[in-house]
Amino acid sequence: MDDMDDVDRTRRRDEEPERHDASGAEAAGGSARREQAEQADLVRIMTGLARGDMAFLFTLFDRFGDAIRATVCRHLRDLARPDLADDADEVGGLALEVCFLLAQRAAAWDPARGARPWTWASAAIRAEIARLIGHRQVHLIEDDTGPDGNGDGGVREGRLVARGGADGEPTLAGIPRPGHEIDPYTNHPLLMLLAEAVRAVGRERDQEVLLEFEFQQANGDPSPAHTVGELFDLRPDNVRQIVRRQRRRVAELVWSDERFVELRTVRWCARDEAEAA
Amino acid sequence: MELVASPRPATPPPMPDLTRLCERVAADLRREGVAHPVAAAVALAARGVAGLERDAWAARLGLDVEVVAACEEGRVAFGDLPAPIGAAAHDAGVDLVVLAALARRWAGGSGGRGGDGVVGERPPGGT
Repeated sequence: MDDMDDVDRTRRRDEEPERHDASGAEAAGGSARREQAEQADLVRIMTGLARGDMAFLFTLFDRFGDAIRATVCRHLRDLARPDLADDADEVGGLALEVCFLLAQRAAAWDPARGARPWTWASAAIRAEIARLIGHRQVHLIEDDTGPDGNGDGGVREGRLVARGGADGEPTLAGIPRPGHEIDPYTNHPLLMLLAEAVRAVGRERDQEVLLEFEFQQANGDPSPAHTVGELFDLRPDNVRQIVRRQRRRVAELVWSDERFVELRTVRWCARDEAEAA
Repeated sequence: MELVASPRPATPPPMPDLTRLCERVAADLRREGVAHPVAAAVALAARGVAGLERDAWAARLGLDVEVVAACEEGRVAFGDLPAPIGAAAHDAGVDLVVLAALARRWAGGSGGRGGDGVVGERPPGGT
């Protein structure tokens, strides 16, 4: 209660400057004290969340919901989805999910580093938002037209589609990677073949990096290397290097193994990728 | 001890979001097999918005801390929540009518398991 009283006194002084003839320095001091009080709140909230007290989830949302909504809006605009950023209902729903994400990571937050939780977890938040808004349907293989440009080569399209779980939450399970599944109604044989090719080369981690990078890129993430790097604890330049290497490996396989001949019409596995290998 | 010392926003968050958060928490608790997930979420929301630890919250409401714990752990049906908790949740902006309907739907849809035992009952807190 003492803390609260201190803050109340501070707040009253901040809100009634005419009574105190507050100088600029005093005003700055009041602002600093308010920031300190908010930081103390955050520490208490995150500590509570870290020990599993879900009441603090409501405290977080109640006290810092505006900041979290603003963070969601910023990420949505970064992800080239201003339409969603302007949708208060959508932003509100995503802000709730961000609160859950912060609750899950609360134990790892270190207040001494100075960043607020939603800034500290920015990359994870962006990845979660991207997953929630954009991974329901992602083009894995681009349309490919034949030599005459009229599609004689056949439309080489497959889509990796998130499938709702039993509770309606999007869970991506199964092939071509753990947590993902080819949706039956868009289950194109080429996609199955491509999944097999991706799985046939390189380390499992590199396969995951490649697929996640393609997901993020197809989803409009302007910095997929950063997002994927955060997920796999890699530097962005490492991610780009792994993606280049994996794509070359896949293309090389496709152009050297007759089992994958069908994939040679797919731009994803272009000959120049193989020749670059 | 007061949990939160910073000023509350001048305008409280939109009511639907807090109610949605209750629904979201309740859904998680239901998946975990909590007997009365909606009631638990309401009890957690009431304390969370107040920003108090459980013992301080119980003292403020004049309830035994064990009673508060039972509510938050989903061992008390929605309709049996102590009136002070229901009133606090209502004052915080939780839409108890919406949540009562959810509890009723879950109670009816799951044969009682994971429901809140609110059939024919009013939301707590006299709303």
